[in-house]
Amino acid sequence: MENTSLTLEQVNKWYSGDVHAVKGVSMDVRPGEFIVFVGPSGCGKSTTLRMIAGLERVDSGTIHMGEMLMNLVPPKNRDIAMVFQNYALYPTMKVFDNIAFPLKMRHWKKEDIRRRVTEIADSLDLSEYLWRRPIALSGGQRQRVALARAMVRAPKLFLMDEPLSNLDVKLRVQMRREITALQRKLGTTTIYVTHDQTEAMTMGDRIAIFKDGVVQQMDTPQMLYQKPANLFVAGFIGSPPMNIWKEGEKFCGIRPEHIHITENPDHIRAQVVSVEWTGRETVVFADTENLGNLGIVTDAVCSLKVGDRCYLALDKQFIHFFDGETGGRI
Amino acid sequence: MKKWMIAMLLSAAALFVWVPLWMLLSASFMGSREMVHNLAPVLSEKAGYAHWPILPQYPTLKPYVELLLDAPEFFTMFWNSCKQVFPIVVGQIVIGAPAAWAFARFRFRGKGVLYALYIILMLMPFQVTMVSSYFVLDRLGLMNTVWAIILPGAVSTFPVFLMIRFFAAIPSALTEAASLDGAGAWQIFIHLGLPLGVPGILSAVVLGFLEYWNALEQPMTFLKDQTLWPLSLYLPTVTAENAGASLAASVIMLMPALLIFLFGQKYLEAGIAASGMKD
Repeated sequence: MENTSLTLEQVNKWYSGDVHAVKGVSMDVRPGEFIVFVGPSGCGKSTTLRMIAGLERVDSGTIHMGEMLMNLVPPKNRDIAMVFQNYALYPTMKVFDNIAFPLKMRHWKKEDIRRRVTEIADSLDLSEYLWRRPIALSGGQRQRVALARAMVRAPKLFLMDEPLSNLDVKLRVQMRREITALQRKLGTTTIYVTHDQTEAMTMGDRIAIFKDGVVQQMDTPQMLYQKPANLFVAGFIGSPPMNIWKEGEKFCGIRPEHIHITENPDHIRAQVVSVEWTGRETVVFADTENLGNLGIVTDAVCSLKVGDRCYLALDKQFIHFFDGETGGRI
Repeated sequence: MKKWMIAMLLSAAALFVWVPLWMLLSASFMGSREMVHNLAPVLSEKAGYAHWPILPQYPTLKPYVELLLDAPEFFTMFWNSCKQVFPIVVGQIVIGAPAAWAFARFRFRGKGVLYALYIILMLMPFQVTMVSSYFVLDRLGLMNTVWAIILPGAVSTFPVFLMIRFFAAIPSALTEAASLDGAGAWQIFIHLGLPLGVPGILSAVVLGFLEYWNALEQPMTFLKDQTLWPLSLYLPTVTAENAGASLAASVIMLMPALLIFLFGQKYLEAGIAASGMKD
């Protein structure tokens, strides 16, 4: 298995002259890494992925795979496989021919193609659907065919553009696990785009958080959660989100699990406005005088009701500080 | 509105379309005596009204026998039609499909101007370009040969315009996926463009066939030699005496067009259903 590193250096993309969609994105992806691009829609994550694929021109900056400069290499010569959001299965071809297509384009022998396609179809539970057309498959099956087509030829790089967004929740959780397991097994360098932070946190070795065409922070899920680089990352990662309030010149933030409900009147006075019981824990939202509305994660067993008064203790060592102007971490 | 009322209205409208066809069909099985008898007030000076029975009183295959066995020129003209129309349709696809693909999927310098030119040429009726075409064909020495009909037909702009619509509707994710799967521009056209464009290509085939099968002006203008004339020029030579044979000829002439249309319609519907793929 060939693994490749991927290096982006000051990559820029402008649309129709003046829309600066991707602004000076730089990153180093190590061979075999699973990188997730996450961010709200229109943040430049998909555009960056499409530039890596060669589907969009790089307006300035460089993209290297290993040592090789890719900027002007046409997509067909990049040895990249991509899974599209709508699967992009070829509607006139049977499942077998869909999966075999990349091999046919590489002039594999018929025998080898059949062996390889059968093998990959077996591993993805697609064997009984090989002679159907994509239109006769369910969403989950189409998703598998798209994955099979991407994996059939062991590419240097996998790109996945929101591949699970058209599936229902249960299937999504299952496919999430399967994709991660497959990637670990194959060890192929992978870039995965999503707008879902749970997907990002559970799948990525490292996550690049995009906003307004800029990578806000690129780090492991743990680091993003524990040491967010700025206000945006702090608010984007975590559910319920970090509590943020302004204190003088700077912003302060604390995660909901680092606030404790007490009965000590020396602590911050609060009034409960909402109680959400999830089964495993309870999320309490309470209004305070100086810190605004705070979200608190507490035990499943919680006797508080809407309108109750309580006291809140903040775990001081877990308070984050951000610059009042730039929003950057202090 | 009630369903049956709509059905009645539509049936009435359909009747208007079908009556002449039925008259044509039934009369093609009429003997010449019956025909003359029925149409005497029209064909000769006899007083009274012509009438046209729903079914012939004495049905006979005589007009067909006359036409198919006793009129060799009919066959020559039928064959001439085939020799002119099929190359035109094939040419329209071989030349037109890649052109339409390029217009629909590629960005290139001068595309807008070229496309405008195509549209302008398409909007011009034959009569407008007839004289200039005549000069060009004359200079090329193609006058009075089948190529005078085939070449201008094969590079006609309408099928290109028609196929562009279909090719442009193919989701770009499909061609992008194919290019990442290792397909070059030509392979994408062959493996994706053509199969997905089948509805468009077939509608171009059907319309092209109908247009040139029924063409009158082009052969009349460019072919002096009557032995090259296609079937469409047979009907004008019909006279009162051989009215029966002429109706039979009309039926036979209608057949290929009808078959092509029925064949094409099936593909048109299948194509529309297949492209119902969710983007």
